[in-house]
Amino acid sequence: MTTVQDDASVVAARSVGQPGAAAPGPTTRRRRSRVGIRPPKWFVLPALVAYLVVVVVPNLQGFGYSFTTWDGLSPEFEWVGLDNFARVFDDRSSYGAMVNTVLLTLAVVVVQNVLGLLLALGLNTTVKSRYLLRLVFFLPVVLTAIVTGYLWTYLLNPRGTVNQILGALGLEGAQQDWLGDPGVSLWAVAAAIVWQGVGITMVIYLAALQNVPAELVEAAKIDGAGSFRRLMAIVLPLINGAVVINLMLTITGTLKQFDMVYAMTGGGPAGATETISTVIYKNAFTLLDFPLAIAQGVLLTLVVAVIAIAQIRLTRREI
Amino acid sequence: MTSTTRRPARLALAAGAVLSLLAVTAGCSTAGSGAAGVNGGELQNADADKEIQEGDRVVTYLSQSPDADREAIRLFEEANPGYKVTMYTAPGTSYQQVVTTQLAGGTAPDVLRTFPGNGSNLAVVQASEKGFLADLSDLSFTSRLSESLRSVMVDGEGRVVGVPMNSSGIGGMYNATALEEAGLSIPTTWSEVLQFCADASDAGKVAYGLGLKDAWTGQMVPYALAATLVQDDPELDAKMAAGETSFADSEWRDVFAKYLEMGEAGCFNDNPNGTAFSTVQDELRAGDTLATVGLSLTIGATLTGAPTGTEIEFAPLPATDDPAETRLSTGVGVTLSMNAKAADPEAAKKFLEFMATPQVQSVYATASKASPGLEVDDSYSGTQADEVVLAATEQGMVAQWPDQTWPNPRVQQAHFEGVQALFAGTQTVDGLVAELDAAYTS
Repeated sequence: MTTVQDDASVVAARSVGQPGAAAPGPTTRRRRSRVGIRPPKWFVLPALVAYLVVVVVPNLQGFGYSFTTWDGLSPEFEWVGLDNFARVFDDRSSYGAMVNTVLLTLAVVVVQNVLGLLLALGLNTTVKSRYLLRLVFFLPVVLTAIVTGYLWTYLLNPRGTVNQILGALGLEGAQQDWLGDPGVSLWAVAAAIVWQGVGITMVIYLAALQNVPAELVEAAKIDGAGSFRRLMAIVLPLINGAVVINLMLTITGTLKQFDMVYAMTGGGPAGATETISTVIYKNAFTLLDFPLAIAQGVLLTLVVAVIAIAQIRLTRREI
Repeated sequence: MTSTTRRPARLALAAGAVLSLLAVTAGCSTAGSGAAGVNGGELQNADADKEIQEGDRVVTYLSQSPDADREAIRLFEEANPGYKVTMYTAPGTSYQQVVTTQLAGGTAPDVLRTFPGNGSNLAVVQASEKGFLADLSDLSFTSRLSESLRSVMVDGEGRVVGVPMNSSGIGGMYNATALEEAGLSIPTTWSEVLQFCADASDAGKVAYGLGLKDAWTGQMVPYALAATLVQDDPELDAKMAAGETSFADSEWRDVFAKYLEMGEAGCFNDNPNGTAFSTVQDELRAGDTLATVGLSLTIGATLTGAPTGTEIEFAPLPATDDPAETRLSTGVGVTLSMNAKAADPEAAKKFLEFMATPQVQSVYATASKASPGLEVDDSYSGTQADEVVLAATEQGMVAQWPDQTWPNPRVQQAHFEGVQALFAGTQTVDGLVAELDAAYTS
């Protein structure tokens, strides 16, 4: 989650540079190059070494181990080629987790982006409480996923707040065993993920919306375009960069979703909310099947990497 | 300043940066190999304020029963000046994952809780096979292990790798106070169980709380029933291992059928899959739930926070209509083992030897409100649950927890998920026993 938020903050800042934003002129750039700090290139060395040691080397080691029988502890292991990857595709729990992960990703991507855009549109107005509302909608973003997960577990308990509110409204028929019914639990987890993430999505859209030239929207209005037409024909094309960024952030963030699912359901009931990440964790640390878990981890990394690369390419083209 | 004078400064800065980085990485590796690394996971230091003198020999100890352990540690430190035990705690619901992660990473405490026999990743056979546990065969307590105790304290190569600290039964834990108020009594036959459920329901109470959101609780009712229905055949484990019988071909079918029958009879709370075990405990304390099927050693924890005067009574869960046939599912509860990578193996062994003494066994069993694991001294007085366990043991009407003889952790995992699926209506008894057989032979 931290990664998503950090990425998002950078992206939000970049979104300001969309059409309509005041681009830094050549004078500013020249002044910066003259008076700004010019640190020596080797200053990057400590960070680079730390990154190599903490991220690159373990990932490469993991990739190497995925072709072996390494059990996570013993220094002795054998080379087994692609056997571990073949086991991933033979493993039924892997299939279920893949389906769940895709469904969860689809739900979160669609709902979080639609809600985030609607909130941004609503708060990109002159309504008096807009600053307070922006703060309120952004607040869940600063909570850790584990805290959010436990909070929602409490709310979604069969006798929890959500069912109590439904009961008080006379909607007893809508009361559910939110986290205990395999048909509902995945969507309940998705709702909690959206609740936490919609704030950052809103902020990115808001940053982009604030750079849409008002005169363009005004001109379209004079030409007789309605609200929906203005949104589709003027606003969305102009904030396309933010749309691409939000889509990719939510896709990659949900594909590797672990902490919220683990805190809320542990992958249950009966595997109904198991994601690729929770299956990897269980295979590694509950069943101690490290070879299978590492192969699953490598595959997940590859999928997320492909999507991340697509994100970079699309973002470069659109912004 | 000219570039000539800046070069040494740059070099000094670069050297400083590299040295700082090396220091940081060196610090990480030191922490990873010693007791300080214990803090790296989700463990919490319960003895952060303990004063450690230079030269003290320190044992790090992962406790799941801090109240019971604190007195034992005090006695150890008193009897062994110069030795200190630093206690850590881990969350109960994710204990196995957290500790296995620490063991795999080489940062687990010196002494930790494992589980007897086989069947789960922290069971002594599995954990020792992975090289996590140290051999304790040279300790003197091993000569006092009975044959049945030894069978679940040894690894695959016959080395003793565990110290039994207490034992427990799985059966009905009844809120005696609430039972009396409702005018009900503890059932002694299967028919009475179903009647008890109906009567509890009429009284507006839940008969047996079931919190399957914590998946491990799903095994309690099947184990309690299996003691009578399945494990009356002493050759069953050998037959299953030899492939002569299976879950599908044995009375395990009856066990799960009766589990479902209890559900259909309204024995359990609504929405068990979404209900946490802590909720069940809350309801049991409050008397809204009359009973739950669980470990007798959790009675103490369940009573914590209960209204004054609340009493919980323990009894075997009947599975047939002949009370004489009812057997109690029992097993060693807390087992202590030594991390193969203990920082001070000699000190850790000294501590474990001390934990096996009659004095500490008495203290531990009393404080944990469980039956003792080994022989006790005169200071020990048993609880009602201990008397039930002891009586069943003396009559030979006990059966070891079945997962202790299952060959791999996948069976237990399949069991957890299968029970949830059974109550979600997405699995049948036939499907569940087939899943268990598949996991057993995997």
